[in-house]
Amino acid sequence: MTQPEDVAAVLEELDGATPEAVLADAARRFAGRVAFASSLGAEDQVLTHMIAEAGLDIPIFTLDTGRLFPETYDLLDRTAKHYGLCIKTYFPAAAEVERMVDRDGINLFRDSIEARHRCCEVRKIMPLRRAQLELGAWICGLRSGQGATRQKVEVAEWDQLADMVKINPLAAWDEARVWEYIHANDVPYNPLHDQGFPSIGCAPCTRAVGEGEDWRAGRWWWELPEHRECGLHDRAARIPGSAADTAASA
Amino acid sequence: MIDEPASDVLARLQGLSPEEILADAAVRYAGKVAFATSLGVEDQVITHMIAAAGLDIPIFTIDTGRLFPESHELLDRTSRKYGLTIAVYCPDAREVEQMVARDGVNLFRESEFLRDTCCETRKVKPLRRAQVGLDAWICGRRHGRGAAQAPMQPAEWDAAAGLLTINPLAAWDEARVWDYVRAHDVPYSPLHDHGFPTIDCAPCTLAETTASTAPDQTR
Repeated sequence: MTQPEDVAAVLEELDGATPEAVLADAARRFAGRVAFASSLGAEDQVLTHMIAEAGLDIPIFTLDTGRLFPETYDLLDRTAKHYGLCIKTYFPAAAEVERMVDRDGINLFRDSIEARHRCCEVRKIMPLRRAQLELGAWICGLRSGQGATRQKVEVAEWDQLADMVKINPLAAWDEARVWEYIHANDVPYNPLHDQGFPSIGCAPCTRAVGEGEDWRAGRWWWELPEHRECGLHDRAARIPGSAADTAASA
Repeated sequence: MIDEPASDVLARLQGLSPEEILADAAVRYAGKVAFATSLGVEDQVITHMIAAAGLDIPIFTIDTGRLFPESHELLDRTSRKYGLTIAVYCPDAREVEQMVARDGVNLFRESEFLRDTCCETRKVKPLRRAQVGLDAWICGRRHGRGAAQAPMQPAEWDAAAGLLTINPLAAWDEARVWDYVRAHDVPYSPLHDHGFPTIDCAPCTLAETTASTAPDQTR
C-alpha cells in the first residue's frame, strides 16, 4: 500500500529530475509493486525505450480492449521483439463483454456518454484494476498539454480511483521533445501518428485530427472536450471551471 | 440428438432453395439450431433471409478480439437494420493473456502450430461454447469457396462439433451471392469492395491484390 503522502516525497525529491531519473527512482522506491501501463502511444514508447535501455525492473503491461487498431497490435509485437521484453496484455472478461454487447449493442459507445463509459469500464478499467491488484504505484505517459483534460500534469499524483501513486515521468515534456527523442533513439512508433492521430485508443473511438486541433480532439470526438477521458485518469475534474471541477470543490 | 442419417437429410434438402433450407431447419431443429455468422457476404445473405422470413433461428458471431474495425461497424449496422440481436461470443480473457504472454500477440506468424493455437483460443473455443445445446448449426459456406474441390453439400456431419452443419448457400456461386446482395440491399463489409473475398481476423486476412495465393485462398 502507498499513501497520498508518498506523492509529496516523490515531488520534493524529484523536482526537475529527468524522466530517466524518475523511472529509476520509481523502480527503487516501489520495487516489486510498480508497473508501467503502456497504451503504445508515442509517449509510452519513449518510456518503454527508457526502461529497456536502463534495464530497469519495471514490468510493462498494456490493455487489449479487443477493439484496437490492427496497427497497434503490430506495434505491440514489434516493440516486444525490438527490446526483447514481455509486454503483458490484459484482456476484458468474456462474460462481461458478451452481456454488455447483448444488451446494448457492439457500438454502444455512440448511443450515450453513460453507454460509452460502460464500454470503457468493461474493456479497459476492469482489466486495468486486475493488472493493478498487487501494485502500490503505476507509471503512465501523461504529459502536460495533452488536450483539455490534461492541462497540468504533475510528475507524481495520487490516483484516488486506483488508490495508489501515479508516476508521470514525461509530465514536463512537450510534444516536440517526445518526437525528438523518438527520432534520435529510433524508437518504434505507431504509423497512425504519421496520419494525423496524436492520441490513439480504441479504433471506433479514435480519429485523425486537423492542424491546430486539441491533442485529444480525435478521441470520442462526438463528446464535449472535458469528457474525453476513459476514466483511467479521472481528469475531467481537473479542468478549472468545468462542471466536474465545481462539483468537486463545492 | 439428431437420429436422421446425414444422407437422408441430404436427400430431403436436394433441390431446395436457401430460403426453404433455412425454413426447414428452423422447424425441424427448433430451439436446437443457430446460425454462425462471420459477417462475410454469404453470411449477410443468410442473415437477410432469416430476418425477412422472421425465422426463429438465433444468430451469433465470434469476436476474436482481432477483427477489422469494419467488421464491428457492420455488426452494428446489421443488427440495427434488421432489429435483431446477434449474440457475440468472446475468447476467455485468461487464455488470451496466457497465450500472448507466452507466444506474443502476433504468434500466428511464427508457425502453423502457433497459428492453430491462436485460432483455437480466439475462435474455436468460443464457438464450442456457442454450440452447447445445439443439434445443428448453419454456415454460409458455398460452392467454389476455398481449396477443396469437392462439391459443397447443403448438409454435412461435423464430427469435430458433433453437430449437423447446414449450408443453405452450398449451390450458389459468387455472382449469385452478389446479385442477391444488390437486389435486396443487404449491408456488407466495405472491405469486400477493396479486394477482400473473405474477411476474418485482420492480421490473418489479405486482399487479393496483395496475396500471392489464388483467389478464395487469401486466408
